[in-house]
Amino acid sequence: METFEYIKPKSMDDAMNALNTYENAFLLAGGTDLLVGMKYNSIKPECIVDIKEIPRMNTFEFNDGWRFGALVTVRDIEVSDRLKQTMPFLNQTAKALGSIQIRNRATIGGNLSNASPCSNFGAMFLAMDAMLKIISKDGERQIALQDFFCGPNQTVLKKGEILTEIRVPEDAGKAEGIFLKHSAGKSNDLGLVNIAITLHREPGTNLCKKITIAMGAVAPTPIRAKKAEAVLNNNILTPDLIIRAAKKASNEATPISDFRASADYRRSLVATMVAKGINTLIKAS
Amino acid sequence: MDNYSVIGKRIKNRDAVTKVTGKAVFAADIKLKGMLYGKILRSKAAHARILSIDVSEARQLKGVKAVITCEDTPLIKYSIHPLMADKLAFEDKKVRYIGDEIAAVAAVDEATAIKALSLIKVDLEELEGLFDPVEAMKEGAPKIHDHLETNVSKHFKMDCGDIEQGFARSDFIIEKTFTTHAQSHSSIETHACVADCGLDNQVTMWVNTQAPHPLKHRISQVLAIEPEKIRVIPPYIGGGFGSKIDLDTTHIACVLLSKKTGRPVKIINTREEQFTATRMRHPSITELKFGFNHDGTIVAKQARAIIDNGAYNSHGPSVMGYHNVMFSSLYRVENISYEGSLVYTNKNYGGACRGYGDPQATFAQETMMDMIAEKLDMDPIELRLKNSNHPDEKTANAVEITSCGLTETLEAVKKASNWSEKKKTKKKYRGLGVASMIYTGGGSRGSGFNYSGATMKMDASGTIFLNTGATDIGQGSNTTLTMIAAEILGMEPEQIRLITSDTDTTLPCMGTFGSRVTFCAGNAVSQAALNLKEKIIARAADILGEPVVRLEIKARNVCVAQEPEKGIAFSQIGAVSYSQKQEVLTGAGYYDGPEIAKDFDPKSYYAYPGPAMSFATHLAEVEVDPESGRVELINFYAAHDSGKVINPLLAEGQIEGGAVMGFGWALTEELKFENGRILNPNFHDYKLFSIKDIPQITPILVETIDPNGPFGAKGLGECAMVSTAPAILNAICDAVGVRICDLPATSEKVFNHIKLK
Repeated sequence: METFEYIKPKSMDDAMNALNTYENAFLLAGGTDLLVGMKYNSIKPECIVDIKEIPRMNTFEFNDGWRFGALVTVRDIEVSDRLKQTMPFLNQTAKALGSIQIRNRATIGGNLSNASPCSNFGAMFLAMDAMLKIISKDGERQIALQDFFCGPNQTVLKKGEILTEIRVPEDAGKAEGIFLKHSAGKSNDLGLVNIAITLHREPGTNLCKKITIAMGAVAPTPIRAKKAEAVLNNNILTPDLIIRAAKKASNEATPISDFRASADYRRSLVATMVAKGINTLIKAS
Repeated sequence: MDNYSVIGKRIKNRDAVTKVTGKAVFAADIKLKGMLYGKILRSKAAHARILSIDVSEARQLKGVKAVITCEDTPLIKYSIHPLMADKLAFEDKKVRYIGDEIAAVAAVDEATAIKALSLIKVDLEELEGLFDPVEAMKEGAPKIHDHLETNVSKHFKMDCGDIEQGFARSDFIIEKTFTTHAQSHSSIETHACVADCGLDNQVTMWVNTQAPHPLKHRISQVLAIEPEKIRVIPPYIGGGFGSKIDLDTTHIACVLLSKKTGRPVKIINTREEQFTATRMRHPSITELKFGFNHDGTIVAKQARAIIDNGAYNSHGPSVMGYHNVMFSSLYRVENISYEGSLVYTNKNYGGACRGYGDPQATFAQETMMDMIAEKLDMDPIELRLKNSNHPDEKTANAVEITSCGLTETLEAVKKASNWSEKKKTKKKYRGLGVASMIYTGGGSRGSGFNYSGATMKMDASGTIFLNTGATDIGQGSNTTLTMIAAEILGMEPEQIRLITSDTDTTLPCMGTFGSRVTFCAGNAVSQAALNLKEKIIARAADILGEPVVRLEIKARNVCVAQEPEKGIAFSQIGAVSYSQKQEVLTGAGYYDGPEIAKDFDPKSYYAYPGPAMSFATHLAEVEVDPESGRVELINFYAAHDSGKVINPLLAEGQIEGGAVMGFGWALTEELKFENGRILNPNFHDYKLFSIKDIPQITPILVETIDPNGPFGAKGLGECAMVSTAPAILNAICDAVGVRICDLPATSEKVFNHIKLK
């Protein structure tokens, strides 16, 4: 690891200044991705801007939809009773990430900004149609998470911009949802495939009013399985239809073959997990 | 029932509190005044000729105190097999794998040392790399070692009985090929060494080695330093599993850099270096042909094996020997044929790794046994019982079996797992599988030696000291050896002062490997304790005026039998001996095993000179998810015949740890290579079993009394993982009907097999 400057601003303005002063500055929130990158020399920052002391970034609340500060830790989400009552699939998404030690440090904003193809929250928030608030010295802008990722570890964030908030629309909180991960080990392991699903049903029936299916680790970024969703939307969720949708999702995936798994296997897992996810939601009620 | 006061008791590890409270000092914790940090420059090419090495720029970097290459060494090659030595500390003409050592630097801090490495200019001419042993064996393949005719480092054929006639007499014949993969030892602690050569050229090394006495000898040889100038001190050690037996270039570099600078030098391997540039379990290809009869009798068995050596020999030649011995000795089979080739490739090289060739052989043989049972529609346990080894027998390959509880281990797992009932009421996707094994229970004299020494003394205060060359790398020998001494001397183990491992203060011991410490060092300690006991009683008899035969030791008192009030405390005996008799009471013990048989063949290990053989049977219960191929371990039973168990608590710990190492080898752990480069040199992508993946493990201790072991004990450490993988794979086959013969059985592989069914 090479030497670098370390700055811990107390305000967003100071953070902005720091980001704009250095050519190659990196934000430090939980550090669970940054420090690994530095240790393996894939990230060589000139300056680290530690944003943990910037106020109002580590809370989440309901106010005309849900607002999550980017510094909310994964563990905060995992143990939140309020979320367990409203969106238990978010607790589930958190719990499937790393070890407790990592979850204590890792932030949801960092999980999105790192833009790993297998980001847990990348898939789940994508399924929830999340919107992002991004701040720079020129002001703020809002974009859909759908438009945020550009490729592995790449986002639309420009130099000097900080992701500060994740907002999910009110109706996401009324959906049923599930997060599934398949990995070699049960603890502290990245998913070979992640699947996040939210489902709105006509109460008391299996009529699907709206379903969202997001997939992780099977494309350069987390992606939505729009064709699979189209098969299911406004239809009764029959076993045959679910299998058809699962196959569609599998075709929408564009995974790579690497030493962790082959593309074919990942595609098979997508079909299996999408079907399993939907069936689990139906059976749960 | 035995009437022991210490042996067989569940006594916690002697250093447990020191370790869990973080007070134990490991090699990496050592900081000496003026200490420098060393780093090694490793090859990034798998196979290349070295044209030039330019270290001038690195030498000029501020903070760099020394840079060394092959020119700074005596160019003496090393290996665990002196006659087959093929490794230089720093290569001079060629590099043969990605990780091969080229140079080393010492600097005032680690960052400067790393920076200096980047300034060393190495001009290489890349050569064709050989990564597949089958390719490397082909005629016309490029040679990895120029001084050899071919890439086959060792080849031998061993025949017992008449294999062809055996097959001709068999009712059935099955042939199958089995492959196994590279496993990393994954000790919690990486290689670490601090060397201080000072100005007087005395070499002191603090190093996490499994074999300090042999390391001293090897440092002496490879650096041409007189042994009396070398001292090796192992601090606390965080596991080895075979990886820390060898001499390693980190040790040599540390000494040379310290000699050159006159300052202490520390080298600690990163985890990546540990994965890519220390030893691993040899990958193997084993073609088996078994002939057997309707009643389950194995009439003839044949193995044709290729062991992938990697770039250098290390333990390869003897690992292949053990592959043969353990294959050939398990079960009573009259006609055996084994042919093996140890083949160089341009990959990280294999070394000793828990089981030493036996897991590879046992995976093949024990999967074959289940195929035979399937063919005969016979219960797999019955088939194994039918062919089981028995006590006081000599196998066809002339291995002397003294004690043997193989049959009992089979019966024990059958009972504990409720095998018969579960087989009758088999649930879908659930399966049971067994596998047995044989392994040495006390090292061997394959290399000519199997020595351990111990001394004991009583000081003026009556304090008892045990002094042993054995090294506790976490397995608990400090606890078991003091238990053996304490039992004999009528005291508690924690009352014994213990001095271990340091080559200046202890008698030579071969080291911790070959499941030999309890047996060999235990025998030495036992002899030393008996020796000291005799002297203590004689002195007491003298003081008390009682005949020796009437005296016994109880709670550090020598008393007259039936008259407990008449006695003398150790403290008085010590005082009288010192001040009045001017004598220190001591005891000494030495063990080197039985004479080597005349027909011993050091190449094939025919008539293998192991002093005792241990046995085990593992039984796995699994559930397979057919949609993902994921194998869930539900239950695991491990019955071991390790002779008389000195400390059941530690033995069970060994069994559980070994099983977990076996789970990983069977299902998830694999070093993945691409053109010689390891793709997953970290614990993120190298998948060890975690606490959440581990099922309930039921250790079962099937005790036999070995006539030659201390209190009847035999070794256990390595045995604990040998038959784990085949038990699991046999269970997978029972669950979903797919027979996987190439390890590991990853989810993807299981899934693909199910799809093709």
